[in-house]
Amino acid sequence: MSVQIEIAEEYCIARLIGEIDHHNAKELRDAIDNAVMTGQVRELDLDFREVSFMDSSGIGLVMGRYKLMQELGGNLHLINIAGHLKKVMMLAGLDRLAILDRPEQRRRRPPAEPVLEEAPEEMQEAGRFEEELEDIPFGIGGEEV
Amino acid sequence: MKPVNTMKLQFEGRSVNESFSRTAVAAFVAQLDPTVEELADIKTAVSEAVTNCIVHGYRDRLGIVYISASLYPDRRIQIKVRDKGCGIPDIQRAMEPMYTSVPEEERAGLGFAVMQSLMDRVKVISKEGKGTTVTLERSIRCKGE
Repeated sequence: MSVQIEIAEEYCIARLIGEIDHHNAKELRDAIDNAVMTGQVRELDLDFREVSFMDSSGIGLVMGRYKLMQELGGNLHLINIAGHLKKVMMLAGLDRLAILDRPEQRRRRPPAEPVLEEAPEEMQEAGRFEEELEDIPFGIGGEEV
Repeated sequence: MKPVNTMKLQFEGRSVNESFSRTAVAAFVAQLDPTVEELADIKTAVSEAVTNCIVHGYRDRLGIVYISASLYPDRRIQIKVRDKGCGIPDIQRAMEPMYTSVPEEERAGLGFAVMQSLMDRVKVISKEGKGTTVTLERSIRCKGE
């Protein structure tokens, strides 16, 4: 398990790679929190694209970062959640925190961009995300024979 | 019903073995040719049960975790995860979602909730000072059903 962290001003993206369980959650938590605190981050993206497994330790990790960003008056976004990860997060009710499935590109845009111009692009991004979901081989084996 | 195949596994309750144990159980279950999703469900439930042994059962010492698994002719798998640790004084409470006896570890308190929603059946037997056995059951669908 590892995490790649990029910081640009108050934006931070943490790309998680590998398996998230109790054994490695603390290391991830420390690395992310350290980046958030030293970089004075207010917008944190956790990217799950390269996460191959997650149990409820991952839920703890997300809830803890959600609390941290709330305390700092910032926001947390979870991106590239699919298949098994989505199932585990949904059953923990993380979708009710309304922080799931935000497109990564949103963070890259200049913050001052008018909201009206954003809308169509955002819809396109949402569509593309659905396509990406379909590419992931979860649930394919078996049902379609 | 007599099992068609069984296995036993025992290992030291070190957190690095969480990954080892769920992968070993998944490899054993693989002979039923489960879907990727079924396998992910089983790995997750085993990971929760083993983490409970390490974090709660053996909270202040290193102990041995015991796993046994049986495959039945009706494509049912039964997995027992056992520790000889401190035991659970109040099982009902321990199984409540969001309850955790170690809030400082940033655990979500969702271990049992995750096991219950991913498995067909979860049974917990515990005796204070003697240990805890969690029995997980799940039917693997026949491909093409």
